[in-house]
Amino acid sequence: MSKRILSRVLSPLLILAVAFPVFAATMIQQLVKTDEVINETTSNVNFQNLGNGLSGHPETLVLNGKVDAGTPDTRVQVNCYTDAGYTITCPEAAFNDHYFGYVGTAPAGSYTGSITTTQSDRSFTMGSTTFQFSPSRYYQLSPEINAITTQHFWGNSTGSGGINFTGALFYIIYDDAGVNTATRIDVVVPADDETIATSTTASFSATGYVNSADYLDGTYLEIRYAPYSAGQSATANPDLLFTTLALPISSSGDFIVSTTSPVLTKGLYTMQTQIKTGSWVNSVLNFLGFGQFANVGILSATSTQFTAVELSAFDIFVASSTESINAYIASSTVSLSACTAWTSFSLGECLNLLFVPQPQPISEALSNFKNGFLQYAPWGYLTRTVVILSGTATSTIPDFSFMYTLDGPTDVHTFTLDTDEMLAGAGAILDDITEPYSGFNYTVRDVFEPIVQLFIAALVVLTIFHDLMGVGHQAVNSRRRGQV
Amino acid sequence: MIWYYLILFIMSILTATFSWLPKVETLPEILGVDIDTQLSSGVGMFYALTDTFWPLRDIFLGALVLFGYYAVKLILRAFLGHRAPQ
Repeated sequence: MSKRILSRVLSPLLILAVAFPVFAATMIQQLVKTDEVINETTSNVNFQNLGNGLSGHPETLVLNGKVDAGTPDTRVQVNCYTDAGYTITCPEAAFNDHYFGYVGTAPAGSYTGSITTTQSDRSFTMGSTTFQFSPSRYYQLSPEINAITTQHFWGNSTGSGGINFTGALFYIIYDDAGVNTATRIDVVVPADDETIATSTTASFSATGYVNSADYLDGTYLEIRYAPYSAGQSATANPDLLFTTLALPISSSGDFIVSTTSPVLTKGLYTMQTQIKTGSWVNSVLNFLGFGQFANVGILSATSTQFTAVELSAFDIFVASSTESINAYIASSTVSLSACTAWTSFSLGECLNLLFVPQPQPISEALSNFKNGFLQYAPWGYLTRTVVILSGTATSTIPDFSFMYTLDGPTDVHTFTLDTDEMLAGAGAILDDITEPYSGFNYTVRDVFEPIVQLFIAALVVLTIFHDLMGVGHQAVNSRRRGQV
Repeated sequence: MIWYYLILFIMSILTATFSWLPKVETLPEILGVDIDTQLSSGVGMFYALTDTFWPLRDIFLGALVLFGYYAVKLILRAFLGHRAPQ
């Protein structure tokens, strides 16, 4: 027990001691362009935000150069792309066409300019717009000088305006704020102290990073979990209490692994997550049932706990209903060749095909029935009426006008009520009324429509049920027979 | 497939039996009033109204379902007489 306590105290200290030098903040300078002619129509600067697995972020864009003539008012535009070919624009409009900042106005002569952005949690303020650089995206810096598309940003100027940067050096300073290249586990799911609702299984996943120096073939993430019990430490072989999941990590760098596994007992669970390298010692110990001693090659580890609770009856009902429907659909898509072709004949599937209704042909048969029998007179009039009533198309409501006189019979005025505009105005007023509590600004319709629909549906179902069961008729008949 | 053929058999017999009746594509004109157009545009206007006053559509659809139920009962009674479920 004392060894366990000692281990718990020393482990975090050891991790801190190893990690501290790695987390010490350093500044990384990435040269993205130098001494080359660049203009905003032909030469853009492409860069990726440090690359996969690193979390540094651009802080300052520096331009060193010399202005030979003119008074440049220069700014740099940042566009975002999702592939290295710089062909796809990022889906987030906020990433595109935003100006990184202004170099400013400089007179002719030597000039050194820099754009220092306001940094807050990897976000950058450019003017009034804030966005965040992403390590998985590619960015493009585009120069723009007074919105004239023919002028050069630096180098030999051939454009108008007399602006000429020479000898420019263009690079970005990253404040890595502790670029973390240590092998680590970032996130585990279920999270520490999380309560999960389950009936049979739960989702387990983890994200993290494996340094290339640590990575070996066979590296994997191990998740072990067991119902928490105060008596665990007294058990002769506590490893048997654990469910162990081994999830391969295919390469160094960022990793995301996930799986599902049974969680049948309700209550508190203890969970241990470890990045491990493959080791024959571990394999032997695991084989012999002494997995608690298979601690060779642990690169990173974390220990958490979670609580499993029952799904509500409604959730279980919905889940089982969905499963039934899915199973039904899956079973009812049997190919006809299961019955007709000797090479693919399957007695079980053929029987399934015979007795389980097939949705597609039956819906076609019903559609043909609707377009055939149901359209015959006289019941076809009823069918047509139902088709019109159950449509979804809307028509414009006509305006209402009336004429009135003010000053004698010849002073005639027309008063017109634009009904559509009135309705649009009423709709706008209703949509402006939102609830302030959830943070989602739900409108009156968002809040009350489900309740209204539930009420109406329940009313309809109860009315039909009441009619089918003959509750009212029975009472009336009983009174008629003098039994009440 | 048994169900499919059963449904197809019943529907084919019904369709073939009454195929001599005229097909109704639109509602008729009565006294120069095109009922089909009027009903379509009227329902369309009602749905335009319910875009703003949305509970009206839910109430309308609920009533439609209920009337559908009574219509089915009437049809069954017409075909089955006293053997129809009460």
